[in-house]
Amino acid sequence: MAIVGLISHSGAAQDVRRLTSLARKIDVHERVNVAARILAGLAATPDVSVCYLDEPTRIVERALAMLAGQAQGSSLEARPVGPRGARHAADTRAASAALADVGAACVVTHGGDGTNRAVAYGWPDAVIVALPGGTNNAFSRCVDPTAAGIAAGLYATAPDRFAAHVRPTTGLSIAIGPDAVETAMIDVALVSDQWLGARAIWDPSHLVEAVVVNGDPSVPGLAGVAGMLAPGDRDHPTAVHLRFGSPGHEILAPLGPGQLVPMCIRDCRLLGPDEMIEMRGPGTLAFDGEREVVLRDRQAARIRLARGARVLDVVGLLRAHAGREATLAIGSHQTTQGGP
Amino acid sequence: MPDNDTLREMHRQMVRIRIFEETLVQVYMEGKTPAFDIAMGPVPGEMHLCAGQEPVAAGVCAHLRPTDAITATHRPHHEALAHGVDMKMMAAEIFGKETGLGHGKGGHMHLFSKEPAFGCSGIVAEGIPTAVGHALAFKKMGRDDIAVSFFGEGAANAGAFHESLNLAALWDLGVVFVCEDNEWAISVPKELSTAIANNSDRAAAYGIPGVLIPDNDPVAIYEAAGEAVARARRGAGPSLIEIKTDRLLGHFEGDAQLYRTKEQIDALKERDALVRFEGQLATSGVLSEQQAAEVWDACRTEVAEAIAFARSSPTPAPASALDGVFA
Repeated sequence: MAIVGLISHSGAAQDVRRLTSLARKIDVHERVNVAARILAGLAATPDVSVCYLDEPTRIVERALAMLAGQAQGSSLEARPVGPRGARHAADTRAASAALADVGAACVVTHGGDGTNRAVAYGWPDAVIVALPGGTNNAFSRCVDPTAAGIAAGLYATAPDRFAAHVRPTTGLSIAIGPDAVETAMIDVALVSDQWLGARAIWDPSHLVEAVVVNGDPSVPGLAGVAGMLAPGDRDHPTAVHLRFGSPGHEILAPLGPGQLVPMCIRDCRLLGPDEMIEMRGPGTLAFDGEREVVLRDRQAARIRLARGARVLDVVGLLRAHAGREATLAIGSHQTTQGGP
Repeated sequence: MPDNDTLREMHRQMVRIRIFEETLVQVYMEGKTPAFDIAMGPVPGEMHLCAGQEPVAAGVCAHLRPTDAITATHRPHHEALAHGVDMKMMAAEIFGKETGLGHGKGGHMHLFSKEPAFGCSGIVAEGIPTAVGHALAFKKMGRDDIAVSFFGEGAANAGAFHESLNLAALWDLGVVFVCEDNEWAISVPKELSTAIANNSDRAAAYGIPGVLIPDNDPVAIYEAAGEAVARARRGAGPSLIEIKTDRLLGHFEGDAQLYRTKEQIDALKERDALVRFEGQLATSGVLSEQQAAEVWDACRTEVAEAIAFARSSPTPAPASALDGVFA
């Protein structure tokens, strides 16, 4: 039986950006609802089971109960994977690694860029179906969760057949010292703070420099800033090195959701594919918008473009599959999801 | 982001709170053995200590003025001290002495100070509507002072919590609601009492920002509280901050803690926020080992003097029993 991973955590979309910007808050009920919609899609594809992140609010268990209440998904096998009661990003990393160990074909995530970074770190070859469920969602794409579940289920049962709909991405590799290697999906920034604190970045005066891949003017965060200056796209990824501070070119930057702030860009330069950028402390490195590693005085981090996570093109897969055969296994599962 | 002076002051506050509480652990048990009796010894009544929850007080109170009002709970010492309540008068109140904040009639659960403005109560959730009242008064008086209500996660299930958030949101009052989630309401684990995992989610029901601080980190608390306090002070309305914190001791002194395992208690002590913070200050060069030692010495002296003051103070005269008592 094919296995699909499901990662959703109640800790996402909860941080200080509810105060510093107009970031939305996603409560647990909404997470359960989205998970149930994903599971409904998965349940509509035959021979798929689910391994999920076990976290304190029991999102997936409650989602299964929600589905059962609607007489859906009762035949769907589901079991937790990785650490029980996951609270931290390290637990998500471990659960993601465990998904690789059990042979999952792909993983559906409902979180922000931080969640997807943790998944990609734990399982570098993961095929991710990323639904926006965080504060900044530059990596994910907005599709209906049930459609995402159907696509994930179809892919899991026939990965070779749907391989054309798996798209590589470009990410960032960050080497700190001789051993530590981190990853980022979208951006690495050096900020002047020497504490992790509330993690998010919301004061542009603290930004020193950043490397951003796949700048996209339609999203908030540093990806949006880079996108305003040198937009790329997923088929033609670009990476830019930004240095902040005056003298420079002042822009109104979308640093957070609804948070447009004056920002002075001292320098914006496209990076070559093999180029390395060195950032030096003192300061803190932020990955995908969250402070993660404190750099001591003169401590260096070396940032390079790297192969990123693979993503499943949900829309492309479903379009290609439409009308070719009975999409969903009506009757083999107790589900009301119908085919064409 | 706090500057280095602020970081050192937050550390100092956490240290003096910790020493105060650890001293009370010893003092409170005097005369109570071998048979535990809350009426015996120099400190009468129950005692609820806050060791482990110091980051909440240090991070939030760093943004407050003496004229900002705090309402706290039955576990109030950290917020009282961090807000600047006189330690000697507070200790005397805890000892039930005439020189105490309430002339010895309130005890440790009913500390009151006019300036810095501070009050607390043994009634769960009682302080939440009181904070709304403070903020309403400030607004009507045209003051930009704010109110901060500290309460536990158990209190967030009380009707007063919901009524207070509703009115504060409706009237755009300058209140910061701070939920100290130590996972235990007396002996009841949160998952057995609360339908949702994060009380900060409840902010959405009243259309106000809700923020979760997951790791009892004083700098994270400082940063979030700074935003919430600034928002309240500029008249933008209330907000709710939920802090996952740790209660290192029992619900009350003498609590055998049969509801949690030794392993759970040891795990809390291993992640002691004060130890972590002091280590981070040393690593970052903000506080040297010698400076840290000086802080601990100075705080020990301050606490010893406060306890000595309390011990040596007179008890209230029986004839004054009804003075200042309104109900």
